[in-house]
Amino acid sequence: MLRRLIVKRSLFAIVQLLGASIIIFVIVRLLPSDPATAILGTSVQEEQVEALRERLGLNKSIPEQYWIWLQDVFHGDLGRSWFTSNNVVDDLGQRLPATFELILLALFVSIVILIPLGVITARRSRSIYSKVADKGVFSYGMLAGATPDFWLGLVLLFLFWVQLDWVPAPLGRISISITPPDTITGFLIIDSTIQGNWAALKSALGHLVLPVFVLAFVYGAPLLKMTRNTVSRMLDAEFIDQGRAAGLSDRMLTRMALKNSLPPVITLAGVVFGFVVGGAVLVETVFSWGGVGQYAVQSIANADFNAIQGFVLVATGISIFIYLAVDILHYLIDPRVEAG
Amino acid sequence: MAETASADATSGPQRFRAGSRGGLDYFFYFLKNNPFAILGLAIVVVVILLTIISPYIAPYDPQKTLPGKTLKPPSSEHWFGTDINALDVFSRTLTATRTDIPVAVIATAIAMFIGVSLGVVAGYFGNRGGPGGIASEATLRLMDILQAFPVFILALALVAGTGASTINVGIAIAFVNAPIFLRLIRGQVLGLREMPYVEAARCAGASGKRVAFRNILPGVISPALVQASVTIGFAILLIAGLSFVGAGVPQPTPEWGLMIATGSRDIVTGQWWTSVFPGLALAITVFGFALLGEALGKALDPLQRQ
Repeated sequence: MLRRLIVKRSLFAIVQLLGASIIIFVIVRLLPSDPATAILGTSVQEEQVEALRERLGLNKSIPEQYWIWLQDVFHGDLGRSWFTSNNVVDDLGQRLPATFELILLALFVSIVILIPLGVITARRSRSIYSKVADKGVFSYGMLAGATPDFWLGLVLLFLFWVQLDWVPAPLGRISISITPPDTITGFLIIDSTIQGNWAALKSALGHLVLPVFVLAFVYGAPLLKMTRNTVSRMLDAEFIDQGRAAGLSDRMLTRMALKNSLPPVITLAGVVFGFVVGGAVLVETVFSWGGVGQYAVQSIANADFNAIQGFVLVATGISIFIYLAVDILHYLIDPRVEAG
Repeated sequence: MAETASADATSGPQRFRAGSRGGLDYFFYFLKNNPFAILGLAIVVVVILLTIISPYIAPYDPQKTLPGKTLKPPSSEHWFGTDINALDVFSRTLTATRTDIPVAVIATAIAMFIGVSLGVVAGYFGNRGGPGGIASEATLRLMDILQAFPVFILALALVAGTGASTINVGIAIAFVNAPIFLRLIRGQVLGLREMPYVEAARCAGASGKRVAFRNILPGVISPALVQASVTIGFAILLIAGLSFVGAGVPQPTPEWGLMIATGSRDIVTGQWWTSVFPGLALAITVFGFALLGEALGKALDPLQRQ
């Protein structure tokens, strides 16, 4: 059963990825009236534009262009960025660890803080405490949903960097004066811990704290709300009453409720991940993070179509993979889903 | 209005008795007991009012530089200070509503129109075979693919492809939000189409098209309106985010995200007012639309009335 589900779900993910690649191709390759002119500008000679069109393969038919591009993608070739003059794959590969470190840590922080908070506040009663929790969770959800992440980043930078000088300047992941650790995993906090490079660890954490907080605060709110609502509903469910009638301990009952609350929360965590990937583009720009998000913004400013295309494909591929993982995890916890 | 009709039809033995205007009366009754809803409605009303009258009440021309007034802190003369281009931040913050609000509202309206019509078709004619069934199946598969994109990145790619302009930002936002409406409405329609009154209409000889658009469509307008309020807020955030990274509204249009981007460079030298005020206006506006959406959701859902 498990194998069948994984195969079926993976096939769906591959179809999704292929479909997404067509859409990306259409958006980035076909919507610009003429990429050659966009790259060269309008003040060049006709022959130069024509030569570039020939070189980029823009004179071939559209399905043919897509097919050539797709074959290149399968060979790990996303084309050359005309701005950095590197292969886009290398550019992205170099910057992905920075982005991953940021978004994974943000997701980790929001899960570790907000899910337990949701469980603690789930038990509803007539007490004042319960009412305060009600209003608190509602207000936080509404405020977080309305806060522009990039603006919050700027405000915090003004407070903690400009005014208080508690955090380092927002110029990348680590201060220039510090020797970075040798690259093993690409995650600075892990690499510097392994190598005992405490100065680098301290600097990396200092750079991480604000962007991670911004992402976790702005995008984590649904996790708190969903955990609270689900656990609350489970605690009121009949099977809990029956368990209590059968004499099960409170501890045991809470464990049962929690286990049953897990699947929707995991699914939502996958959705939140997708939003954090999008939010990272903005937050990286504010903190000059040097990850793929900032690369994407630069590529757009430079009309660097191969780079944009490569970035969107990779970002979408990552989120498709996350949705796949989440669905399989969901099945492992609650095998009933496949029937639905 | 459709929600008024449906509210009358469902008012049963409740504490609140629907009057002649049903839904609307209930909405005011609801407001009285929900301070958050009043706050949301107040914010939205003020923002919409500003969209209309801001050019007449703004103390300065939002696009005309004031000689010798570069980066002045907030004062009685310039409430929100002036920016690096010697423009009055208060006037720009007010008139930015004229960019952000119409684009967000129109984009949401387009997304809602596309999403609701396709959603009704996909929900009502789905799993039924025939051309309608095939069309709805194709739509759903397309949605599966669109769902795979992180929303902000899809919008970014669309604007990058079509070129940064106010119109293209609106189109991109309509495009990324239409699937949300489609999914929501399709789900509602799947529930409604099994209702006895729909069956009755069908037995009475109504055509599929008539049932879908005369009997089912009114039933899904309320959830669509609720979603629309939330989506307008979300759309404003998207416009600002896209403009912030230079893939949105072009300079020197007064727009909140663009103002924050311009102001972000002044943070280092301590001039916080050029970015903080437009951001606050943006956050408060989105907050208002979200609260209103939440309130509409509760007020328009007959099952939640107590």
